[in-house]
Amino acid sequence: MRSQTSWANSLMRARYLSLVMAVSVILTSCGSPTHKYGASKSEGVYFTVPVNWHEITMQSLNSYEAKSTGVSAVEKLAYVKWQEAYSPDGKIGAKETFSLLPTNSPLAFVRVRELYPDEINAVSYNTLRDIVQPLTDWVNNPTAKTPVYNIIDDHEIVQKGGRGVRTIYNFVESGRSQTIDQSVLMSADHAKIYVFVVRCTSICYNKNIKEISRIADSFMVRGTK
Amino acid sequence: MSSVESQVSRQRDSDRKTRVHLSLYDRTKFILLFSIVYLVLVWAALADNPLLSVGDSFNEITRTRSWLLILVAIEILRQMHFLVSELAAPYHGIWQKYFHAVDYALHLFSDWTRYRLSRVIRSILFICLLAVVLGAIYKETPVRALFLAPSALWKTLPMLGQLLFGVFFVVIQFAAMFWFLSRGGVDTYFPDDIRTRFTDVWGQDHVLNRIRENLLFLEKPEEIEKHGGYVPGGILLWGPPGTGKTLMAESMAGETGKPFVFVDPGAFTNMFFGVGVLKVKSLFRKLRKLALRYGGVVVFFDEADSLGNRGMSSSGGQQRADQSTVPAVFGSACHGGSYLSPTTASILLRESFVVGGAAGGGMGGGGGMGTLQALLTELSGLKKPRGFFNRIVRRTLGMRPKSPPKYRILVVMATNMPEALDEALLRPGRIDRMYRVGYPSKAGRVRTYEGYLAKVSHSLSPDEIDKLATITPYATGATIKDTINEALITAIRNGRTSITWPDVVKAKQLKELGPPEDVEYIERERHAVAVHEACHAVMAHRVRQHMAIDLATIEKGSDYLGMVASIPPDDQFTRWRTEYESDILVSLASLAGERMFFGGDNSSGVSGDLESATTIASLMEGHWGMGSTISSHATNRRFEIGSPGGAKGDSSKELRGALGNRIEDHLAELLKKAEKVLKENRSQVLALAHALETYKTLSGEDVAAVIEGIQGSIVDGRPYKNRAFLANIERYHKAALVAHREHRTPDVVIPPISTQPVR
Repeated sequence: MRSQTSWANSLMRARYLSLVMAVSVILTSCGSPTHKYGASKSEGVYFTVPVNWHEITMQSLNSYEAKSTGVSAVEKLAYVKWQEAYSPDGKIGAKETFSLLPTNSPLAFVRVRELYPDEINAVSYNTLRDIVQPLTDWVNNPTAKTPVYNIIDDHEIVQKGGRGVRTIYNFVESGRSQTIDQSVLMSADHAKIYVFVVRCTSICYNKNIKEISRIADSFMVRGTK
Repeated sequence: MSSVESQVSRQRDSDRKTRVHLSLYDRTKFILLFSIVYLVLVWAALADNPLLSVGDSFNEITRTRSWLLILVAIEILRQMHFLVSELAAPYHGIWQKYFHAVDYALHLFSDWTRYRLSRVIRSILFICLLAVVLGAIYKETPVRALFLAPSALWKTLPMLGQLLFGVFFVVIQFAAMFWFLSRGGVDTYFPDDIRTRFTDVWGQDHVLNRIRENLLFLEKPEEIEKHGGYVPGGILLWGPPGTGKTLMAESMAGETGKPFVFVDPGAFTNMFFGVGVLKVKSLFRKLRKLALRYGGVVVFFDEADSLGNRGMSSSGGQQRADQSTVPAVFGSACHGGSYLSPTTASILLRESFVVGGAAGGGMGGGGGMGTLQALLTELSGLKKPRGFFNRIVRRTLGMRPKSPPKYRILVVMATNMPEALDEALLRPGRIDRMYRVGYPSKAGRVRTYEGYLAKVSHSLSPDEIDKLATITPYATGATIKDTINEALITAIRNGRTSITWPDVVKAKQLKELGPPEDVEYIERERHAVAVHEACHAVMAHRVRQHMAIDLATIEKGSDYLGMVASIPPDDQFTRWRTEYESDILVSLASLAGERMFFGGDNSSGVSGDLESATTIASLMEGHWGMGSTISSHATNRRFEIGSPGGAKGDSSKELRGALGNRIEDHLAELLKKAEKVLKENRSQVLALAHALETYKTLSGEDVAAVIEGIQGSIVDGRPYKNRAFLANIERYHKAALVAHREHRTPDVVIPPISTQPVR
């Protein structure tokens, strides 16, 4: 009688144990991540890209920038706090990131930098819009050299870490149309700007518009703690 | 069988075939802990990146903290091992054997080696863990991080310095406070600071000789040390107050060529725990220094009873039996204990402790709080090597530390309550010699009187000084000094600068009786008191040889109407039956006299006399073998035997009555004798009463002069030989008697002293 009870007890205990084990196994083996997270915790900047995109590291971007441009660029590099780029195309690297030629695959680029001394008193939303192309000039002072362009969307964005403008536009250069979705914000203390650009050829953009919009929407500036 | 009987004792773990079953909590607690850690990490990751989804957060933690999974796996394996051990006896048996083997292998090492091994393993584990943690902090490999750590430590040194300063600041406050508190109470005198010498201490020659011996050994320690002895390190001077203990110590300080350290009685009374200990330690550090520098040092603890007794604080009463509990045989003059066998003596002693154990009042231990213990240790503690260089540097270099030098410290303590001292303090090695500083001998008193009289102008002859010493048997240095000073004041008040014999006698009476209350008796009462005292004095003069009358007075004091004070003329240590009987006669003289002179009437003033007479008679009958029985009443009472009747073979049945009856019989017999003596000396009694009424106070000499009718030192007794004058005195007494009966003023005034020549 006694041995039976103890056997039953052991059996129950064994069940408990297997339950605990099963739970822990489930907890620890539910697959791979759904997104890639681009984040700089120290700068308080976050965004997500699809998991199959590959990263162009800050190191490679920095070294390319330092190598390819003049002395002033090296000095300016000191102002850059964080930069990274992502693209689904493994062939796209630092060179393509900075060349501004349209790419056939989407390219997301983020940069946080401090304002240059001459910028501190001059920054406006227009300055922020002109960060990639001189959009303001294109609109206000169109010349013969002004490319064909189209501003699809332009609105103010306000976040915890700062405020700025998001502009989506396309333009034609060297006979190829490129669409750029750019979010540029200035920190609340007017010391830094946050740049997030997602771009590719207009054909590519239209094809991936949903994905590109989600990526651009995910851009979040919390600011330095 | 009841359920109680059927119960079997719980199986020993070593007797079990399987492992003891674990509770559910014990099975799951680590997995639970790891799960909590996992959840906390997930939560932290979610908080870190606002874009992160919960699922991705789980994934990331699983990916990046794989060590947690490994731990979980190990824990699961362990639990499975336990489970199998609980269910399968053979499996459990294998492991038991394995563990036994491991244990056996481990115990091949000695305990010390195992301890060292475990210490090495612990250290390595700690370093590894530190490396991993540092690696995580610096985001470097653990080994590299370990080398980065010192530089970080170097960088934080200023802050550590600040912290250390803070700690040091707090500590220094306490240290400074305790340092200040532990100052004071100790004075050091160097040779020639003190002018008192042994020649200034009078009447304690026997003690001085022994102290001189102690000092000699301190001055020339080789004399005893080369023969294998050691310098006696401690002296206790004990005795009644005012007998010159402190003076003796002062003279030691003056006499010795060594420094003399005087410890204040209040030095060890303090507010904070530990200050007393610090004081003792600093005192002995000082003593050692002085001892080394000057080759010896004398330290004197005045009122050593203030050091307290460890036994007191716990029970509130005295632990050691004091002098009063020692049985009479040991304290008696012929030292009855000395001829008894050791066993009998010890029984007597033990009995006295049982009976007298509760005696003695609670005295607060003055030192307390470890002070006494510290003192005991310093007096005879470990002779340990001292000094940083001696202990640390020499040992580091492989040399043995030097044993401490011989510190020649002579500890002198003085107290008038030796029973309040701790027993451990008095053991040889701490206090080697105990000297009783008693009342000075007569020769000492003479020397003391001479000494103090030498400082003033006086006209006392050597005989008078000798007499003075005789009539002040319990005089100490302090009281002698006081008496001479009082005599000088009396002389100055009378317009003289030189002390005469009457001044000294006056001073002595003033000191002994206190200032008179200046109460004028009504005449008949004055006469009654005078007759009462005169009866005592005449009886004492006639029958008592072992005591001399010191003074007789009818001046009212605080608790008496008049008195006859007596003193032993010489230092006598035994007492005899006849002496006690004469004591009783002197006591009973008042009752017999009052009845005789006042027609059978007597006052209540005899109560004190009867009390002392009864006490002595009782002791004679029950204790001293001076009655009709032999056994000691004290012992009988202790063993609850009951007192015996009269002696065997005694024809008179009355004598075999109870103790009380026998005492009463004895007293009645002595009262008759007293009446007889007084009847024979009727005129002397009345003469002395007259003298007392006239002079109020008479010295012993003058009392004798009045009784014998000769010239005394102050009073001339010759007129009292004159019959006519005596008849006048008798007439006055008759008138006083009538006045006493009728409560009025006597018809006859007190006759003035006749100046007629003696016929």
